[in-house]
Amino acid sequence: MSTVSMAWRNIWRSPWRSAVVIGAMALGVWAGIFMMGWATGLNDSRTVSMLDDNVGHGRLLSGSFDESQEISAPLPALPLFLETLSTDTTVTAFAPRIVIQAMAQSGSGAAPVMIYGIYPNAEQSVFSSARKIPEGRFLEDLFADEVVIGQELAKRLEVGVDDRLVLTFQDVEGDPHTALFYVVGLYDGASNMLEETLLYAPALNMAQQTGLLDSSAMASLSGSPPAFPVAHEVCFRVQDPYAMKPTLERLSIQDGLRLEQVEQRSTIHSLETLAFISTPIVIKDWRSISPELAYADNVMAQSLLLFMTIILLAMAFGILNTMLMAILERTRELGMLMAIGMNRRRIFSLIVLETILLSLAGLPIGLLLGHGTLVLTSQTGITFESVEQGLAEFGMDATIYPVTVPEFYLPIAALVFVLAFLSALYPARKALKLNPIESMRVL
Amino acid sequence: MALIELKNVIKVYKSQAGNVTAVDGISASFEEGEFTAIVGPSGCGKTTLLNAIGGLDRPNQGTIKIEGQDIAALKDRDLIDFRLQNIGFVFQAYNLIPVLTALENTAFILELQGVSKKEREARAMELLEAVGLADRAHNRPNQLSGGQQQRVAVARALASRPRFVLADEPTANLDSRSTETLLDIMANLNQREKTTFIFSTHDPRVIDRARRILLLEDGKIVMSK
Repeated sequence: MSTVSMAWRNIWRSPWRSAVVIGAMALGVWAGIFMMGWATGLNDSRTVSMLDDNVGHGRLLSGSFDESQEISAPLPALPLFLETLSTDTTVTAFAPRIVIQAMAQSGSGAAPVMIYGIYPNAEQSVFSSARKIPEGRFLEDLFADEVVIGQELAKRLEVGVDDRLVLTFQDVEGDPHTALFYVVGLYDGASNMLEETLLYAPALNMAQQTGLLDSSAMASLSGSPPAFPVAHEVCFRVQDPYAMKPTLERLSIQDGLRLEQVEQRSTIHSLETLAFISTPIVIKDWRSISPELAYADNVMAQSLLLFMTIILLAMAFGILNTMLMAILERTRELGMLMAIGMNRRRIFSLIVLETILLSLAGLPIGLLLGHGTLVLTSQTGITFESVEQGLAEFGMDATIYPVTVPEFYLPIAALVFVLAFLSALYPARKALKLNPIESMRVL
Repeated sequence: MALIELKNVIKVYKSQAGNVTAVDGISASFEEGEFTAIVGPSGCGKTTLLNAIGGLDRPNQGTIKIEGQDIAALKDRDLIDFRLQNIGFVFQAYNLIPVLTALENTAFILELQGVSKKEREARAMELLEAVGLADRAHNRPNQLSGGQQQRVAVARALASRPRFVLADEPTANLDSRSTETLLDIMANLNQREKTTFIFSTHDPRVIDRARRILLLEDGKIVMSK
């Protein structure tokens, strides 16, 4: 008869009481896991929405552009990286962009903006904000003097489709440049702040006006289907934004090889060209592009564990109470065990084991129920019609799809174990303080 | 050297009414193989004396030596181990462990001593046969009568081959037939295995079977025969 076996049998002396405790633990774990899966699903939905809208999953940009946002620092070896991205099976879409800080003016006002000089089809394949055009249309011609602005910016500058907008920005020489554009569409972004600051313009128009492509380069492009001759950054999507490390590593290796080749052929380049092409590129995943999203992910995970701890802490008090009752009921027996020679260590082990077994018995039931519920609801989703509008403002659907959270199961099991151990200490201490003679007098 | 030697043992309890002297300067010795009954009216100090001999309670004064070792001088931890290795206990209310079978209850002390499963089960079965309960080895206490439970308690007390067995009113809750059976078993074990038994009792049937009787009154031995 091992101590474990004896502890297990002791639990079932009061089957109903133990069943209630085990059931409560299972219910607590189930509720906690379901809540974790639901909240993670909600957060994932928000994250995915933000990634789809304007962040993307990953981004390549020139190191010098990343540091200074200088318009004269486009991405070196663009064709090479575009080739790498198009042959990488994990990459589902990519969109090169020219990025220019500017001032937008209308007849009613002015606002600082960020111009995205984009290749429309590519941009739409990566970002949903380029697809959601409630008014007008999206950009089509790569050379046209057209812009698509956010609905909030349209409100602020009091412009609409077919109105004119003046954009002022610097060219690659640092000289100010002003150009007139027609608003051809309004996009619906994930947040008001983005709608107010980001606007889309055709990439080649912007490349021409800023001098990123000189007249001879522009001439060579006319007539041929435009590839992606220039960009400050390339945004891309992958199959799984939570598992993009290998993709980033492949891109990094590619850049390393490129820099080695640049070094070998350095004598044939001018100093200026060399400085441009020898700049290492910066490869970012969405966590570094948008640290607030990554932060929200981390905070969510920690908050969920904290919440689970609170649930389990409440359970622990229930278990502590149950064990105290058990000790009280078995005072006489514990006294007898001490009398016949059961030492303190074994008595302590017995009480602690009983508590841990009682707590752990409900754990697998709760885990299974929780996991099962999440598997089911991750397919059906849970619709919150009453808060549909509120969720939509965050770019989220009213139907939330909870996700299974196996990464939490081990920490939860560890938490239950630790709390069970802690809640056993007081009853065990009580048991150890019993006096054998006095205990055996108890009826 | 006597197996157990008591010298001027005094045990005083404090109560709201004042100090109560439960054992008042008792000196006595017990030899190996004795079958002794400590008798006397309720409250005369029988159980207190047994508790002191069994190391469950420490006297306020005097010494209790078991094979020359003063158990009052042992630390609590050592005393628990001493009890485990040397003393068998039979309690008035049987005090079997309800979740264990008769066999497991009997073998329990051997397990505490670290005896192998095979060995302890063989010894437990041997004792259950000796007390006539081999066929109930796999029954739990709630499936046994009071007499049967007390026989299991005797088997448990003897399992580790203790130097002596202390039995506190072992027949108090038994009918006459069970009492006779139990006394037969204990007397038989006393003769066959030379196990020393010391009882506290006021049951005349037990007193009749004892080979030595110590009569206590007000915490003092007033007669020994």
